[in-house]
Amino acid sequence: MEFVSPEGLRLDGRRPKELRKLRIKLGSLDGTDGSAFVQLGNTKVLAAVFGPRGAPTGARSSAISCVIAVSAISVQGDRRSKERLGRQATEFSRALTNAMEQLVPADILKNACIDVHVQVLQADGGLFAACANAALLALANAGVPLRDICAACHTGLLESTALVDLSAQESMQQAPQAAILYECRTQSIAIMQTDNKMSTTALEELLELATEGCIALVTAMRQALISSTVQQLSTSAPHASAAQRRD
Amino acid sequence: MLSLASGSVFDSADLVAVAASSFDQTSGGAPETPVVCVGDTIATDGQEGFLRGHGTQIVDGELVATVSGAVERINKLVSVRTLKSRYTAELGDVLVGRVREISGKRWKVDINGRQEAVLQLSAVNLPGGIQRRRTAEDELNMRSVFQEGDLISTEVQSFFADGSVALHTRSTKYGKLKGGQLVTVACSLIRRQKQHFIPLESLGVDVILGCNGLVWVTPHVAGAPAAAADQTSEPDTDVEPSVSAKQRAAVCRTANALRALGALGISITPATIEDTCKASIDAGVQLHAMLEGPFLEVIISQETQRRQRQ
Repeated sequence: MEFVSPEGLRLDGRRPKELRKLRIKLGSLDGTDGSAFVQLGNTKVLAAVFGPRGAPTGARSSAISCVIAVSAISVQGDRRSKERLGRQATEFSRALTNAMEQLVPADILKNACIDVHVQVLQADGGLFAACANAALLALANAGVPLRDICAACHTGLLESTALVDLSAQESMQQAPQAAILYECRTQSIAIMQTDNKMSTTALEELLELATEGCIALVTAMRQALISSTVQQLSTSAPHASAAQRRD
Repeated sequence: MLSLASGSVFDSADLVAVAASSFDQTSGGAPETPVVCVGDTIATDGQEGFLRGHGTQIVDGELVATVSGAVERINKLVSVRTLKSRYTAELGDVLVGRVREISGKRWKVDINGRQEAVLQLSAVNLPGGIQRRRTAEDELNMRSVFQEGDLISTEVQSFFADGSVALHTRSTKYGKLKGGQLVTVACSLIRRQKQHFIPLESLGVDVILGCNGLVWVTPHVAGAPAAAADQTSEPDTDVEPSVSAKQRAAVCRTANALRALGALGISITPATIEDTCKASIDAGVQLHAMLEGPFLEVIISQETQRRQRQ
């Protein structure tokens, strides 16, 4: 099978270094402290944050918890493929929890806990990158302080061409793949997840591409956060005359 | 411009976006508040030294935002104010909270903050209003004052060393709340003002604007300003005061006005509450229709006009 045509186009018509279309919507869930909907191509995930709030009696081991749930409607295929995805999600949510513990300053989590819930609505490649992005946007939307702005991106080396943001079809191949969560300010990798055998040069190539992808995603995420803040600022602007009328 | 009148479904993010796009047309040459995102560097070039405020951190001598929000500068202090976050207590704030549990000599109260607040047994008025030391017997009878699940109005008394909040209800205006309706809005919409117990006689309701975003609405009682259950009188009987259908409608209208303002992200002041309720009465809007598109558009246009006048 040919993943990159002689014209340099992938199966879905993208260039090798082209991300899928990203759509972000912040704060659409009522009753949560913060929420984010992220759509990356056909992958759709919804994240919600509850907290920081008073920790329940009987302190838990970790003050921050992140749970990724793969909904039954999100994947095609038989029960076993869904279960496999569910197991992978559990594994990745542990990694994401660890990364978040590093990101959120310790004083915020004193006597408090934060619960992050990510629901996968539609799975189509780059799933965990989308989950991580949604979870971090939801935390930022909830006004939880974060040490750095991060983004996650998935890459793969197919037919010796490095491709960014693999689609489901591309990521099903037994080819070197790497996904990272990248901290943009400190320029460090918080999580790295690799699949299949690869040489160190392949890994280097993939990490470089994934970093570029993360920087592009952060730009879009930053824009979404800023525009949501500006909107809230403009609706709640104080109106002097209203206050004067009362006094 | 987007219209809310069409049949499509809107969530809270859409509503804020629609309201913001309408207000932006009015603001014209208003000075822009600088807005930063997580991880942005805050410019401190023109300043001779700076103090790190909330929502910031210092990385390699640079001031970096840890939250998204508006930059506020007070003399040397630079901080970032978030528009959507949990309530951060300040001394003397009037709050509405819910009792979560009783442990030892204190009640744990959920005030919608980052931690549960503490209400000490010594910080409440005893039934009957007697002034004396709290005995072991009082400790056993704590449930006769506040039970788990009770809604109370209270005030921030002090902070503990670890940053958690101590509350008190040592005034007749504070105490258990009953016979009304609770509305929860974002705490950034309620600004600190002279009065938080507000009698709105024209609407026939009393409102307690909790700084933590919890608002309590009750039928208006003549004389006492939005008095909570009077602790100096008889011990609690747990009987809800009787409320007529007309009073219920008034409470409901005010509560729905608060919900509508909260959904659109408009600041909540006595004036905006009154204006919204009056607009709904003038337009003959039914109570249940107050949270629907057409009336929300009325509120937006009213608010737009108010800002244009300024």
